[in-house]
Amino acid sequence: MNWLAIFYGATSALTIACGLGVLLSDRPLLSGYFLTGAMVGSGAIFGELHSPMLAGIQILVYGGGVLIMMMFVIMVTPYGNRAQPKSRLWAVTWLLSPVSGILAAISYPSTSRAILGRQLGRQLLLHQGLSLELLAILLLAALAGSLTIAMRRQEDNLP
Amino acid sequence: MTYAPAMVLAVVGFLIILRHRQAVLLFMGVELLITAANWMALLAMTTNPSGPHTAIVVVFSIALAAAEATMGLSLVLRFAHRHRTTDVRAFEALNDKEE
Repeated sequence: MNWLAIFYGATSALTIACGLGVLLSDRPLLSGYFLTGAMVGSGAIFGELHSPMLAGIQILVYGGGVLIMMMFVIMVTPYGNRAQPKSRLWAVTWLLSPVSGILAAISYPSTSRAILGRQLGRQLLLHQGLSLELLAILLLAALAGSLTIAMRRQEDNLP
Repeated sequence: MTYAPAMVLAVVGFLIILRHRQAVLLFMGVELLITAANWMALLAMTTNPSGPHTAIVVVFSIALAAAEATMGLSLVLRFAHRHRTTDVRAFEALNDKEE
């Protein structure tokens, strides 16, 4: 077992611990912080699996985009931050995450192939051009749709 | 064995969806599920000779998840303004008329 496998195991254990934190914490805002940890951890896992480009995309899109949006929704809606009943299952975290980490370290694929940004870009632009365009249109439609849905109409303000 | 940690993360995401009733937390569970799926896909691709070609799926998956979260959270915001709660049990009726 080399150092990279140990790092991979430790990162996996931390990511799963953060995931369990989302499950067991009693406040949505705290769950959001734990989810940030889980997403950054999974980005690090992607990096340790020799995919630095996917790691960057994962951290930027989830850690920087989706999670900020979730935090804003929790904070903008005060009733979204209502406390949940406290869970007594926190002990599971101390058992499940180290076991998962050890499993990950043992099964680390040391002979894995690197997936570089250059290869992904070439594949996207030369062979998946139509899919890329469709994805761009979908993202634009999602942006326009979410703006339309989230805008408050006059009748919503009526008592 | 290789996929076991990602499977654990997927199960945790599924349990979040089962346990919580707040819409934002349900989305968090879905995002964790998608991340676990991407992790498993990447594990499969890095050990496969055609890995870089199939890794495009993960890029598309991340972008689709972002689009889904954008639409879903704006819906949650809208319902939260209307029903004064983010509890999904209050969103039984999706019609536009107030009672």
